[in-house]
Amino acid sequence: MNDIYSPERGAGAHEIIKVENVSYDYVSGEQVSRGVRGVSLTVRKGEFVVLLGHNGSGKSTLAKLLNGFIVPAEGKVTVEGIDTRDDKRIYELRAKVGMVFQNADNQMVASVIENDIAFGPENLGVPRDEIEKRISWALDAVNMSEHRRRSPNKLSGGQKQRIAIAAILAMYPDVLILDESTAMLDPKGRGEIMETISRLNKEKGLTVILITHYMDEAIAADRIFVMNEGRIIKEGKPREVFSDTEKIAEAKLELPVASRISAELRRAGLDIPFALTDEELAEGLCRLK
Amino acid sequence: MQIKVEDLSYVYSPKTPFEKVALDGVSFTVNEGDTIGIIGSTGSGKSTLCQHFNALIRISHGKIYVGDKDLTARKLDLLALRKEIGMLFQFPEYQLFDDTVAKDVEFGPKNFGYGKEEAARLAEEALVMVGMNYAEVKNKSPFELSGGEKRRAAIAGVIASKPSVLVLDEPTAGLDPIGKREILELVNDLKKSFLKTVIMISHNMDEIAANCNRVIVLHNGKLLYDTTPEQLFSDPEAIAATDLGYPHSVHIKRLLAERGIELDTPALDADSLLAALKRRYSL
Amino acid sequence: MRDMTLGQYYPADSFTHKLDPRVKLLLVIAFIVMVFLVKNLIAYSAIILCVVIGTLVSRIPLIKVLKSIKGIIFLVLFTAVLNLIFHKGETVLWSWWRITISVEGIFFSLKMALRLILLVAGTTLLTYTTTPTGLTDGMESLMYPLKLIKVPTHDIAVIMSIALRFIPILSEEVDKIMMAQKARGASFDTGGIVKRAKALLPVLIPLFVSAFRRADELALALDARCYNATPNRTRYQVMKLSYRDVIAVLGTAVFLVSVIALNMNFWGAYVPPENLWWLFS
Repeated sequence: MNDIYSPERGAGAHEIIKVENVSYDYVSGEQVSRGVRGVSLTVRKGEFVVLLGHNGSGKSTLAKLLNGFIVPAEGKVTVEGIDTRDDKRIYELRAKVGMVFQNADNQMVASVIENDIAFGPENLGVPRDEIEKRISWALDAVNMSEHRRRSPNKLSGGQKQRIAIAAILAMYPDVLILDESTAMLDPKGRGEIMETISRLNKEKGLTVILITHYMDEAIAADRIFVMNEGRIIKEGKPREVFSDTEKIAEAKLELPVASRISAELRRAGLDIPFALTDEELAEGLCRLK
Repeated sequence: MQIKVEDLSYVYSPKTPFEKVALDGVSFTVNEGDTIGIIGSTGSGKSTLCQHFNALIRISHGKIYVGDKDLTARKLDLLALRKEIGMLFQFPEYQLFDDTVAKDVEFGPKNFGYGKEEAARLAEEALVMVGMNYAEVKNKSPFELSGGEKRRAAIAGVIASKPSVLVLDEPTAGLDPIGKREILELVNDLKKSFLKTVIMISHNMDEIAANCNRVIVLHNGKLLYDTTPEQLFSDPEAIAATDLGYPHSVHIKRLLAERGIELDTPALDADSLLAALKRRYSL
Repeated sequence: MRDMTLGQYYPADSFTHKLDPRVKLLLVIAFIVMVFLVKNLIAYSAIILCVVIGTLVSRIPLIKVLKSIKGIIFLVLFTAVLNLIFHKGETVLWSWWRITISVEGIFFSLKMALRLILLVAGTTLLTYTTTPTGLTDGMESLMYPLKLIKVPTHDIAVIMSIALRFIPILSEEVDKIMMAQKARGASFDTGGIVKRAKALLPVLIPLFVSAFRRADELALALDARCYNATPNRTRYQVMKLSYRDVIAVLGTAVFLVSVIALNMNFWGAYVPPENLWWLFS
């Protein structure tokens, strides 16, 4: 299968998403609840970015600002130069920024998998032969080809979510946003999704934005944004972010076991490097001998 | 009170193309005071098994005794059984229905035959126990609560009638780290109070290892292991056979052992691993 | 509830399963018309034969079709009893107050019951052998004339497709909520009608809340997949007629004609023996 994504990535890649000083509040009746406040960030093509935060930190609001589901009250969001406020180009924008949600069951429209995946391309007016190709490509990309003509109802949570990802991939998006798509899954399902998106990112160069409260899902990220009370309180590479234990505590997040233990041991005076994974911790302790 | 399961089998939609064997000759005993973890991959029969304990599913093959009650008996007092064995379903917040939190929590006690005042008192106790501000939430609609609060209100609704056994199906699913910790602490607190036995389904091995004194491993409806977390997680064959994985702390201990660093702990939770490491490096 | 496979697609590799959904829809419509038109018991037996043959050809166990009838048995009995006691007939067997039971009444209520049962059996055969997607695609295609007068046939088809997809999800949800409330001591099968209806509130409210929550997310998901992005929507699934469809149509046509013939006693010349009159009434 020929690949649709260019290998462009890294620091030299162009900025695909720009968020400039954006604020947004939810207003229902007289109640105003905080969404995001004064958020700025950029995402480069081919990056794997993680938005970390506890439930209610504003991370999902930020996600919905990125593909124009909501538009900023203040500030500006652009994707490949398209302003999310531009109503005339909203579908062009949404085809570029595909979004997968929390509950896979609520994202499927057809009772047979291939028909569900065809739905996006059909809406975009893609010719039939081309849709056929895209279904095969998308199912192959999430390793679900053998389920093509089956019903989604009998699948496991992780498999359903992979189908939901395939349904977005079939629209050939530039960016894939996963809005807490792992929150309801068991560890095995989460593993499947993480494996799928990191492969899509590494092999196909797809830009991925993952929104989660699981810190261990952020270990492989190029960059992490930590959110709390609607603001980005920390930004950086995984090692920088994880080792800032104060900010992690402030964001009401929980360090992976290995990171927590290595931080405690360092604090107690042991000379080991800060660990992100179980292997790193074991390696660090091993070198000590 | 003991729960005894003998040769329990169950088949969904028998004799159709949808036929599915959910349980296949499962036998084990839950002793009073146990915190039992029931683990196994999706579709291994965990939920089906648990729904037998309070007769939500009637036994089609095999036997279950709860105390001296035979659950296959024709005349079974369902209400008494369900009062004795509380059950918290997965995503329990989706069962909230009444117009106020207090009324919703009173639902159980009222069904179990408590009078109005008694039910209200039990509801207050339960809401306080799950860490909610009773005066503040009692007249609120349950649908106005935040995600974590909803879950706690739902738990209050299950524990209000003070069951002696509590069955929890993935109690922490979908919560953020703080929410998860709060729920597990709550279960441990309840066990120091009226709750005698806990049966917990979980996919999270860290939670199982840190909280349970026994584990039952199901695989394709069959009982594979009935053992302690310490035994289970020190048996690589068992872990490989069920694709469950190790708790992180045990995994770290194993990686260290591979590198010649032995620790004097089963390392079932992060704290005991940390303590053992501190001992080893005399910190 | 969990065992509820009523009306759900029953996977099998059969002649009927492979038919074009449009053809099946049309055949079922013809079948329904037939069931409403026929009057005498001979014609009814021909239709019963038609259902049995249809079931065999579809490789569906006869017991499954009978089970689908179980779902409406209450309705059938209720209407049968009403028909039995209120139908005015000449050959009165027994009467009291306004209630009369007559030979004609017995036959009438029997025929009405048969009619209901056949309607359900026939349509069940359609849903057993046709995937939900097939059904909606077939309906959308048959609604084509309506599209010309600006009826949003595609939206209707998408709504039907979503409804069909969510039926098993929501019925599973009902099952779960009922279990959860039962675990809290609720009981759904005791007491009078009012009490039972009231007992359903703790199930219905969470169900509606959940349905709305799902609808919210579904609406976002539809937007995320650019629903209504262009009027020039394309179609992935195309339906093609095959020799099977021709056979099915011809076969049904033969049946239709013979049933009409039996119904009207076309040959007229045939005078049934005295003791068999009821077969032809």
